[in-house]
Amino acid sequence: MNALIISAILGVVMMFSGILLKQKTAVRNVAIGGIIILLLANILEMGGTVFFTIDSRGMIAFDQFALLFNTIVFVSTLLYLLLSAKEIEKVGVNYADYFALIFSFFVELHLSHPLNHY
Amino acid sequence: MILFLGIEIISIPLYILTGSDKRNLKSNEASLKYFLLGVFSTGLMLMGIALVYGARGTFITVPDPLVTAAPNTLLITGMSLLLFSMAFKVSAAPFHFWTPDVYDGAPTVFTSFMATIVKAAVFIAFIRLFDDAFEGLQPQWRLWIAVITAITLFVGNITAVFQQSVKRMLAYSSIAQAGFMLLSLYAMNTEAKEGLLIYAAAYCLATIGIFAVLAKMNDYTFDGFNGLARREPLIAATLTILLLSLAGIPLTAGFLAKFYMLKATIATPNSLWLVIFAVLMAAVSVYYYFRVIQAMYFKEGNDATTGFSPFFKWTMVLMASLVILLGLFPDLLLNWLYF
Repeated sequence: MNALIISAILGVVMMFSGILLKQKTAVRNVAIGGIIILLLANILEMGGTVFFTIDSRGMIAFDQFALLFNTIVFVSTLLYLLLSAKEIEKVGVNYADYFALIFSFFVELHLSHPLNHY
Repeated sequence: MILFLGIEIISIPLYILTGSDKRNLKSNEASLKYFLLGVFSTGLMLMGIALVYGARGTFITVPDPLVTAAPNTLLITGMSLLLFSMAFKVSAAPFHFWTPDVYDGAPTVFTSFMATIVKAAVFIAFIRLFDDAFEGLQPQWRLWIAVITAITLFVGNITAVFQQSVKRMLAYSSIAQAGFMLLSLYAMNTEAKEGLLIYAAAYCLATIGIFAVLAKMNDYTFDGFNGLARREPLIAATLTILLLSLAGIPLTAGFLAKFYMLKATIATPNSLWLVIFAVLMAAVSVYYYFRVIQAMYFKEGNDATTGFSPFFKWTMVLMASLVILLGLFPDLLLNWLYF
């Protein structure tokens, strides 16, 4: 649940960073910092530290398999951003929105592989 | 329903990212094609969910032994529609026709994201759904999966051999790799699930690295890589390790990932033919991955790159190191599963 909530918050943060931050480097650093936070939060959840306890009536429940997969995704995305974040900036002027879309993807990713699907 | 929400909302950012290069007609076309075909597969998925609901009377995918209906036509048809829809999402043949055009048309930096992280995510959803919801119907869907896997491996590998663009070759290679990942769904045992995690890690690391280099090239054909080893020996060396991993050469994570998949498959009764076919197709894949290595090391060419920063080079070294580390010590990853 840690990564699900934090990725939703980070998606919104990235949208606003496009308005508030004028430098591309700053937006990129926020995105990379966000991924590192997500990775750490997910690793903590694997160790049993849950920041957000939400009663989803069993609709969203994560096991070690899902959490480990999340970790693989976050490490891969961190490396992807380290290698390719500059290329994202070249695609268009709304580069912060592209990062926001990537973070919103993570929210949906968490919904697509919980333990039990209702 | 949560799965449906997850899978479908995953697609929406991807449609936008695919068409993000607004002035490029290919990018617009790719986005529209992806959207239209994606909507079609969504229809299949919804119909499948409706039929499964009709058969079971509940959206809960983990069947209650007291209320589970016996397999009937409604349930099997619903499950088949869900299978076809998910096969579309992971670009398994013969539902793969959107993949080369979309991957080729999308900006390279987003192709990398779609071909790796997104694909792995949908695979995990695929395996979770069929493991949870349709485990009892395994005899019915196993044959479907075996046929789809064989076609995916064949189409992906054979078509990749004839490509002149590295980007398009990687698109077909992603279809071929999806074929290998489908083996985990076919086998559906502990090794298969562990193997899928290693496969996801190995495939994502290698493909992200290769696409990152490709995004820095001015020429996406194999000729664009000519002589890269002379100009950028570190980049060429790391790229070679990543390509060897995708080809499944020993001491890399890609080898171990394929090994896990084949081991899981061979433990399934009457599956030897599929294992032999997968090995043959893996051998074919060596050809097109080695074409890039050959171009880098054994051909002369002009500089066709936009330049690599020292930070980029060291990140590539880190990726190549991770690929080798996972190839030697897979338990570094798998131990977390039983943490």
